[in-house]
Amino acid sequence: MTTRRLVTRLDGTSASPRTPDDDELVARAAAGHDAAFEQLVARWGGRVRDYLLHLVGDAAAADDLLQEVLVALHRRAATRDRMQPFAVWLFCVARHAALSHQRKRAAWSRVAAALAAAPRALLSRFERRAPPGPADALLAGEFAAAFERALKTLPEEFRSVFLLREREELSYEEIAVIVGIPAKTVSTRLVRARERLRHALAPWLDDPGRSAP
Amino acid sequence: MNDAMDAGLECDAVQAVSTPWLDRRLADAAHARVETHLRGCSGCRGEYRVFARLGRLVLRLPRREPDPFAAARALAASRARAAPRPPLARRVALAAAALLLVASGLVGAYELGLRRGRDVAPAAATDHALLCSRAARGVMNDLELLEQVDPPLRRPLLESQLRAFDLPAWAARDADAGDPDGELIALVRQLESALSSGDDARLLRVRDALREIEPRLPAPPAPRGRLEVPRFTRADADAVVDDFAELPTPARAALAELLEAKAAWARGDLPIDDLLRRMTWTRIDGGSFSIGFAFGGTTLPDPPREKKPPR
Repeated sequence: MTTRRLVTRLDGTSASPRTPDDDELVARAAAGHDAAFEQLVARWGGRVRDYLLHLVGDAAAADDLLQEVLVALHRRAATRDRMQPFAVWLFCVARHAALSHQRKRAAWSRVAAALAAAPRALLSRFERRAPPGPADALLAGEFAAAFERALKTLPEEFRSVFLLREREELSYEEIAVIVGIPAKTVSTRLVRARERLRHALAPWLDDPGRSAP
Repeated sequence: MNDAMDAGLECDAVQAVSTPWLDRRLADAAHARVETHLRGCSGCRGEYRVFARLGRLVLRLPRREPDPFAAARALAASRARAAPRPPLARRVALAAAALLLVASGLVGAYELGLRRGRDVAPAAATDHALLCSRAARGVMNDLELLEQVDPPLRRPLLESQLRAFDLPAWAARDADAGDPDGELIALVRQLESALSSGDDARLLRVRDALREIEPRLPAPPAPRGRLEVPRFTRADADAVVDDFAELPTPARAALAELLEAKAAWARGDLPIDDLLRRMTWTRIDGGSFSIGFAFGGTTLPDPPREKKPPR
């Protein structure tokens, strides 16, 4: 069995001595240095987008939410509570953005349901189907698609904990801060999330001859 | 008896701690005992392997980096938010005068209004009171249009309108005595209350009250026969759409295009049929939405008539 990832570097200190850490970049970005902000985006943008994408399940929405998070990063990161590592603050902002989006989307869904009853004859005059969006490379692989489907069956509280642990490699304590639960509950939710995913993805996990894309 | 039993752990107990063991959350001694068990128990080893494999596969999923302009866009958005914004009433009025985000049911109402060929609102107004009157007429028009919509659709449509126009936030502020839009603020509050009640009759009473205050609002200039928005550019359209942050990206893009097209039509640069063809559909959460438009805050002019070719 391979050794699990033991060390999680969250605050940018994993960078080489010549590379500024996150807090330094945040301070410079707040002072108007765009290059510092771009460095932060290069360092964290992919991870945050990945987390958002798995939470909301929609690439366009993930891009929109990422922009919200990046704006918050530019405007508020310098004045955040320094007691928490930068990554914890960042994923906390991202999670709140995603949850807010989900609430709004639920409201839109209610409107959509009401509109489904609109007279088709009227609609057909102007209707033009939107073309399907470009295929998301992330979903191209069989395992990726199966994982996305399985993930959607998890309640958000399990999904977030699982993603923050397995994708972002955050510690229980850091996840606890982001999600707002005790570390013990993080452990419980992780157990349940893994159990559920294990059953949903059994063909991928039980058959050693099958590999991920 | 296998080695695992020698280690003093039952398989059930070992499998119950798979998550803390994999995440190195057990104390060193407990971790070592589980490890000893795993060495001698192929069943438990298989169970652990499944979870470890899950973690590896998930970690190996590729990430798609943000597009190269994400940082630049965020910087621009951040700086735009830092800049002083125009008063909300002005933004509401601009939105009301420029567009009405309507869902599919309102397309019929649009056509109805088009046939009526009613008065036309003024060109770009700057006077605060006039803007408020436009906003009032925008809300009133919404309510009138809603009468054309099937009753089950009215509430969700009006709710989405209010949200899109950010009217609740506008009406949440305290109106000073003599505030020219004080009456309108009170009515918007009544509108919210009526929506919460689910009572269509109350909605219509709000509409009637709006009609009542309309004469007291500054009158728009005399009709000019055509809606004039000569300075309405794509940048203006984008600025309006920026206020609709809650809309999905495709909807905002469609909206901006429509605003631009509407201005072109109002200038006489675009035939009405072309304008109608540009009514865009977008898909939101599996439901079909029309991003169409009417003319909230203003009224609909006669469509430009196509000249018949001489016989």
